[in-house]
Amino acid sequence: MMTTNNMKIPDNIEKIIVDTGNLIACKELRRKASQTPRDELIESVSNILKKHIEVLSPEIVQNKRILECPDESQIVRIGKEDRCTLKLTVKIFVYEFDPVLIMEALKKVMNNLGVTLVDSLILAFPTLPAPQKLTLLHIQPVWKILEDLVRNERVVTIGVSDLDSDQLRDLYEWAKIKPSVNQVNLESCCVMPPEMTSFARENDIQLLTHNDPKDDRQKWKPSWIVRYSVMVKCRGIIQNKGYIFSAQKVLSNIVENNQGDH
Amino acid sequence: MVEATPSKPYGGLTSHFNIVEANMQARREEIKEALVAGESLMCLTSFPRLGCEDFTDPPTKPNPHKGALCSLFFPDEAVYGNHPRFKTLARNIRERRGKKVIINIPIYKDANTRSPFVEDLTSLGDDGQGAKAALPDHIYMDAMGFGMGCCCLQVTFQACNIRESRVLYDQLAPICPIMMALSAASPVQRGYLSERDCRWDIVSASVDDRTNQELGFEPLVDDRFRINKSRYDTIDSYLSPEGEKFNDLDVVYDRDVYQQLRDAGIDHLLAQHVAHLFIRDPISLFSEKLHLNNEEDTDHFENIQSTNWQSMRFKPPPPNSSIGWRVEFRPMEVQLTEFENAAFVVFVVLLTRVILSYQLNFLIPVSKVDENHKEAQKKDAVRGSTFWFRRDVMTCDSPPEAACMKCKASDQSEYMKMTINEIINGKDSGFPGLVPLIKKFLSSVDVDVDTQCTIQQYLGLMQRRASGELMTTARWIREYIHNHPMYRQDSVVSQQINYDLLNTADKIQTGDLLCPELLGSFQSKTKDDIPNAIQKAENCYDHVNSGGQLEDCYSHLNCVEGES
Repeated sequence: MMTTNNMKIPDNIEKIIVDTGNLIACKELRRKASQTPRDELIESVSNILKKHIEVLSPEIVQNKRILECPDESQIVRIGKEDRCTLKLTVKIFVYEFDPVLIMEALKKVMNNLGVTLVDSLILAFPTLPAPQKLTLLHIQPVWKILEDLVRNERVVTIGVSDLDSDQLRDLYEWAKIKPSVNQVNLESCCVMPPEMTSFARENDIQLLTHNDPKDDRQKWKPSWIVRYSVMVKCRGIIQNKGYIFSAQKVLSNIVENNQGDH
Repeated sequence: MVEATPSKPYGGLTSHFNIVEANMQARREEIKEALVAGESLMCLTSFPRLGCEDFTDPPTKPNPHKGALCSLFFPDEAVYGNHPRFKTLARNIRERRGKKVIINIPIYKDANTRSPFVEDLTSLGDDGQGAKAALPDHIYMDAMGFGMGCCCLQVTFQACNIRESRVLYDQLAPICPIMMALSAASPVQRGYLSERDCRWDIVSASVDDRTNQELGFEPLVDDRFRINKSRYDTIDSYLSPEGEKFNDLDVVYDRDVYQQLRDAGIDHLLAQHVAHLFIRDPISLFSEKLHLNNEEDTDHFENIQSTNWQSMRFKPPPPNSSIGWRVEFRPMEVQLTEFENAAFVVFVVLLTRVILSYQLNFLIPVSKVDENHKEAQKKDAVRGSTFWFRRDVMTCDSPPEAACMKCKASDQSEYMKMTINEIINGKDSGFPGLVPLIKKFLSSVDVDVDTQCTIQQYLGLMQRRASGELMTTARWIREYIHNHPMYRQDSVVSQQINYDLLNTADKIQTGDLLCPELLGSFQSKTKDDIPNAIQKAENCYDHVNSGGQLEDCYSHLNCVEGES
């Protein structure tokens, strides 16, 4: 997914968290409009990480296990006065069915944006190795976390991504707080299975499109990725869009990494 | 000629893009109820045999000697008579300029077209005025009806404040000629194939009320200004601070009006814009609207505003109204089907969302936009022409202050010539293309599946019209005529050819006849309303963000409370 061969990440670092900041701001858009979302994610995360490491003095991160960029001081937050005119959508891609990781991801994005409420939270589940298939048993523990978030008024609606009709129905029937959204791949928008569209219509589930890349892991194992977007309501304009990426160093690769850095 | 609008503005959710086409279909259904057997409602930018013998039903004869039009071709009876506006405008324009309007459109020279093409107008009752006004090798027209009897497709946008409305007005101005070329749909005038695919110059000349002095043919004695354009034409200046350096035309304006506005605190650009509107005399006025309280009534302004027909219209809110600042996009030609018309509308609206989200900049000198406008009307401009377009549309690096310096039109580093295909679909080196920019926007916002499908279909149409793979309506009409067995390669569109053309177009519109070379095989998922689920969720977000309880939303979201 991303190469860190050109970057001198200090050996004591076992985990990195990168916030790309607002990609809607000008300079980032000099990229081709036809860049895929996957490339956009990789490029924006790599750029920020690289810039951060270049100016990093080793003493600061000497005893740290976690590398975070940007620093607290560089983060730009959403103004409180603006919040009621905005709609904040957060999609968390997790790579383990681990409630702790979900909470970590959510806390990070809410902290970095300076908000206490997310409008729409979407969860994208890990791809299970074949021939395993995603079932309600996998989803249940993490969905309970999301339900608590609604009860605690941290999130208004909760939703899922890329569930098929059976998975969606199973979740819907079991859940106490029902999924408000099932995201589906943009490619399929004109050929939606009728079973899915009628179930969604009967139960007021929003079927929304996404264009996010599929799961893909290499040297640094992603713990989670957050994609957030902020819309100005009733004007239909995007105000803010970015990614927060957290990765765990894969132990078997540590030796490789050291050799690369010398 | 019927004008139809939605009864209220479309909302601001992406899901609202999916109801435009259904709304247009509903308008058609409503009009159809008033039709009788044998009648059909057709969306044609120009009726091909307007002004030809017996073009009306029942047949009527023009009267060159008296009435509102005094036209050799266009009978007064063909002008809508149940409201005084149209005949009054026609008469007042004619009387103000001291003669009939003069419209000359170059005729398409086919193998057997008379050369030079000159018509015998005396047989129609011409007293010599027509013969003098008609140019050889041109289709001559002499009435307001030829222009204002054309149809078009207009879109009005809500801006959140005056600043945004000025930005949108400016940013859409360079897009006008691009959309006109793409939507070209009127290659036939008064029964002849022309060298033009668009209506613009015809409408412009059809309401041109300028006197000989204003036109510069005679020295200025009684009239106040030498005026460069008809009151129907492209805009003369940008309104935003970023646009100021690109205002390279000589803007004619009323200095007293300008000063009055400046003294009241209006900035130079806006004052100049309004003062420019007010160089025109009123050409239609109700006697009871003459003496008004201008502190409460904006009718005097609206009178002049509504008879300045420009490519973009800046629309201030009327007093005591929450309607807000609006901008009207006016250049597009109307297409045969609701699918196409909705596609054009949605494309332009999406473009405005992209412009505002990404702070894009399309500004080039106004003189270059005018050059584009002339080019856009040419036969097959979409495939054959190039247009001035800004090289780098992502330039929000430079602060607005930097834009205040005058920019000479000769500074060509900022803009270059591109084809419609390059502008819409992009170039490998650098220019991203309007459709890819819109697609990037769409992958960053929440869109429900049906709306996304519909929009992707619309974008597909725009892409393929721009590449030339699908025909413009104008090209389709031309090819139909060329291929008609009774066409004699003489540029003449006879009654029979016209009848068959319109019958075919009618069948395409109803879907009884497929026309993949015009429409591809696209199919939208348009609906009358947005999905319930979307509305409920949006209500929830609004409710909670304005201080409401999250619990109130639970029943809306089918949540089951109870055991924890």
